Amino acid sequence: MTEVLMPNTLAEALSMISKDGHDVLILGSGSDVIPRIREREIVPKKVLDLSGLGSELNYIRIEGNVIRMGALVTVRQIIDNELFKGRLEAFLQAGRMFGGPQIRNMATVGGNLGAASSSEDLIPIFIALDAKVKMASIDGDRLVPVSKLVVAKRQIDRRPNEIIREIYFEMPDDSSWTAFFKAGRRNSLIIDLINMAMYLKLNIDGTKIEDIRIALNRVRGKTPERAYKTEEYLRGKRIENETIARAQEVLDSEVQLSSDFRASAEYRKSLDKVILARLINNCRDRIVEGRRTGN
Amino acid sequence: MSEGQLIYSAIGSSSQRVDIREKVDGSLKYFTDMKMDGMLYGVVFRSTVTHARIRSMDVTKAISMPGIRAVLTSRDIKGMNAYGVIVPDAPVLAYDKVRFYGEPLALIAGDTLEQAEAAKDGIKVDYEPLPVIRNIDEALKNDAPLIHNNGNIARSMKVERGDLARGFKDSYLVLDRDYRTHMQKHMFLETEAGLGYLDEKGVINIFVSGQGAHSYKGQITRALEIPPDKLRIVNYPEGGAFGGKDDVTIQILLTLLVMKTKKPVKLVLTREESGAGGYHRHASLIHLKTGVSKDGRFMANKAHILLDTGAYVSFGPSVLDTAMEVINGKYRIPNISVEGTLVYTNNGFSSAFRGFGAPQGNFAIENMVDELAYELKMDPIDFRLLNLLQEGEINSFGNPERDTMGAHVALTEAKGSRLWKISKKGSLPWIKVGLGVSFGVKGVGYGPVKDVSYAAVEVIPSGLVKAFFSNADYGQGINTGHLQIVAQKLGIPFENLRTVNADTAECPDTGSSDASRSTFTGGNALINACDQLIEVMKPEAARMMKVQPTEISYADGKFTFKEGSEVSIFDIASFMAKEGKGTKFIGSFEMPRVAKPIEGMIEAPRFSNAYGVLLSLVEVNELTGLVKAKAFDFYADIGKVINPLLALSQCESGLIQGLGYAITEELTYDVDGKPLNTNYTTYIVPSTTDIPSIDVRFVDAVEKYGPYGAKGVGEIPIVPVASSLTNAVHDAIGMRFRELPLSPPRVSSRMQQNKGISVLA
Repeated sequence: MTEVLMPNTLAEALSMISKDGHDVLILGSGSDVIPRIREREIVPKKVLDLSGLGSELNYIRIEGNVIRMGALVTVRQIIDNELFKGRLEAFLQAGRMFGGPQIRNMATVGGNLGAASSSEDLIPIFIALDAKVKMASIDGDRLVPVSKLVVAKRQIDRRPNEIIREIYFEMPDDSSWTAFFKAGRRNSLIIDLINMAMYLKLNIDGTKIEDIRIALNRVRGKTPERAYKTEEYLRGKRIENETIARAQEVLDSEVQLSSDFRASAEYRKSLDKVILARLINNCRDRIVEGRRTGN
Repeated sequence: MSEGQLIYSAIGSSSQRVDIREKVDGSLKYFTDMKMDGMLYGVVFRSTVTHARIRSMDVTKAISMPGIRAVLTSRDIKGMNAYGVIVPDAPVLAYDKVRFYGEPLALIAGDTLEQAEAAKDGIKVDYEPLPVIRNIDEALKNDAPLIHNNGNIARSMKVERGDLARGFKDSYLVLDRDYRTHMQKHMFLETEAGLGYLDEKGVINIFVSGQGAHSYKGQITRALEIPPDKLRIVNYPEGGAFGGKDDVTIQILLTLLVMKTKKPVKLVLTREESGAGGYHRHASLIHLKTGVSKDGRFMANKAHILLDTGAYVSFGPSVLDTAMEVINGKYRIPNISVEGTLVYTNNGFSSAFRGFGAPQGNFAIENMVDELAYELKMDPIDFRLLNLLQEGEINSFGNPERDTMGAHVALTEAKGSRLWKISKKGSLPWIKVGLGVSFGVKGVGYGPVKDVSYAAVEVIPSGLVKAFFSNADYGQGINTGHLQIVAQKLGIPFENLRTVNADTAECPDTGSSDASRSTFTGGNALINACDQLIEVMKPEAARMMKVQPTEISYADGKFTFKEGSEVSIFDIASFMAKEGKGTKFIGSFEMPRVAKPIEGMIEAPRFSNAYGVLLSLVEVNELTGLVKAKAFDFYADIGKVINPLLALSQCESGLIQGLGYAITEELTYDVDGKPLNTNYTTYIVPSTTDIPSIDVRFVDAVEKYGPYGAKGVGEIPIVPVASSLTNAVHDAIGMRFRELPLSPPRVSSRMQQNKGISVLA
């Protein structure tokens, strides 16, 4: 029998897992965990249900130029929030293709980070934004850069007595944009063949890439990671076909994609190249457009 | 509106489905919702290897586990322990060998589902592994291991007509091509499921999700040696079938569980079990060589169709016959040779699936037709029209053609489609737009096999007419369609009609809901039953009115002598009941057959055919290889349309299922023969966001022998989809795909090989 713990406050939740936390499975909405329990993929001794903590962990706010999201924010809330309609377009691009409507209504940011499966769409975006995760425990908060969060497939840097409390990142400035793309066999409810998120900043006169962060899943093994070499190559370059073609080669040598029944590694690599080019152009176009229209 | 007008319009009106309310408000119970007192939960213990000899199986530990009431193996079966609608070659529970991954080996009944599941760990099987045959090519190798003792070929057929060599010699252009299609899962929302119990009279009652009733009963009594009067099969309202519940699924397993435990038992397959152990569409390999004259007339067609039937035959022979039937389209081809080979492999279990071999045959011939028209620089529709048989002409299988008029009309109307006017300029430089055509044929009914359907109507004095038939309503709406026929025939308002569907205790044998036959055969049998009702009731009415039978006439539920002097069928029923006379009338209908059958063929050629012309507009993304269907225009000849809304639903659903078949769906096995994608997460059916704009037009056509002119609509929509899409892709990017599905990796890799397309976006 599985014991279900249902705290009403974060403090209560944290005390419930202060000891023997490794026996406890933390449940956000359950959109990822419940099917896995049903399949006996995981057989938890105890489940800590966070649904009572909405008043503490469900918020999106901007403080200065920092955007903070509580762990219980749903994908639907992100899509509906005005904050994400401009430079944070990556969230909208991911959100629109995130599962189906029911999953978007249920799935939480904290759950997405905690599940850390190879197909989580939000993690690459957070990595591209250089976001940080705030872990809460009775000993206080601990910060984990999201790029260091996923240790292995379905394994994150979270101590047994910790709960994901918040994720935060800086709002990109008006020389920057974010974009996301995923490719699958159908338009919704799809485990992607490949996904990629990008943060791109142009220099003052808009001619060169001042900064870029590229995150994609399945770089090595099955975890989302930064494509550092590709970024390094692109930094300071003009956006021209030749540059992009060379960047595609760098990316090609940098990623080690695997084959499975969904698609071959070769196809994934060819998609990666396409998506890289598309995201660079997409970000550049939107920054230029924004400058022209004064947004 | 007067009652009379309402009744007159029963045929051709979109009457509301009779079962819609409980389906929409959620009150209809499916098997997962049902429970009986003292009910046990059945689970199936299945093979975890693909091809092996069974050295031994030990279930002793499982029997002693908590809550376990029975663990059954082949030793608990008294009958022939085999099933299969055409050839009983599949063991109910395997004993000497397993031939596919997920084959049933034992049954467990437990007090709870969890206990029954847990007891699976208490069964040990010692296997001697055998090499796995993964496809048709491997099965036909000289040194291939044998899946059955009689070899890896389950059936061979050949039909020849004319002088093939001469035909090719006289041809201006001959193309020789290979086509391959893959396995498709039905993915019905409700998996194979049922609930059974033993009643106080010692009868085993089996409520099951299926497509008929009587054919299961025959197979169960044979496999388990049960007297027919001790078994009742009821097809309960269910969540889809598509052919995947046409042959026996869990019926025998469930009956055995009830027989041995003498308790109510529920058995519902998990999605993954259904994926591995359930049926799927045959993969095919089709060699096609076709010759045409310079002015675009067919000269010769040589086909060899090989189908992968998996580990057992099931409906394989019928599916093969149907693929052979459509490989000549409905074209005038004087010289033909059509060979068919049904091959055993270890790829699960192929069986009936909407279209029944026609989608595979159509994929080959309509790809070929498009290529020939293109090479001859002829319009694809004009080329088809030029070659389409006229009524009275002798067709490829030697019978006079009798019903291609609707096909001519459909092709001609398709020339006026909105899609011809749409710009082929893509929204982005790498998005290519194309338009494709395909012409599909699907026979209605079982072909040359004698097929007599029975159905009944009963007049209840309280004011109801009940219609009894056994072709199941699994969601397609046959309950509603059949009642419209009864309403039309008797002139009784819809609200006074009820159905009793697919219950062996009450319904005569109408056969199963398959082969697009239900409306045609069941509808006609009901009309015949109504005729008998009128014939028998007429003298009774005359007696009641004290007039001669010749002086009265029937209309609108009553016999009338003259204005104001009439008696209703309900009053007559009451009058007859008092005299102890029955008021249930059984009608029958024998499906017409072609004059000249082909020796050895059991499913084809058929007497009546439904036709469909599909135009597909696609967008091909040259960078990712993604093919998106943007629009379908479908022109169909299904005979007279009984219920336009239901017919439209059938068309939309068939087109979408065809879209999945062509692009996103593919049942895949690993090198060891284990299925890799058995649930909705891994097996990709189209979602609502993938569905194109769909326009369906029914051409004005009447089948002389059909009920009120109707044919059948269940299968024709899926038949031309894949070929229409590959033809559209050719129009978009100039490449012919002769292998399905049109998955992004396949399309992308072909484009990169052929064109060396740059991946600069």
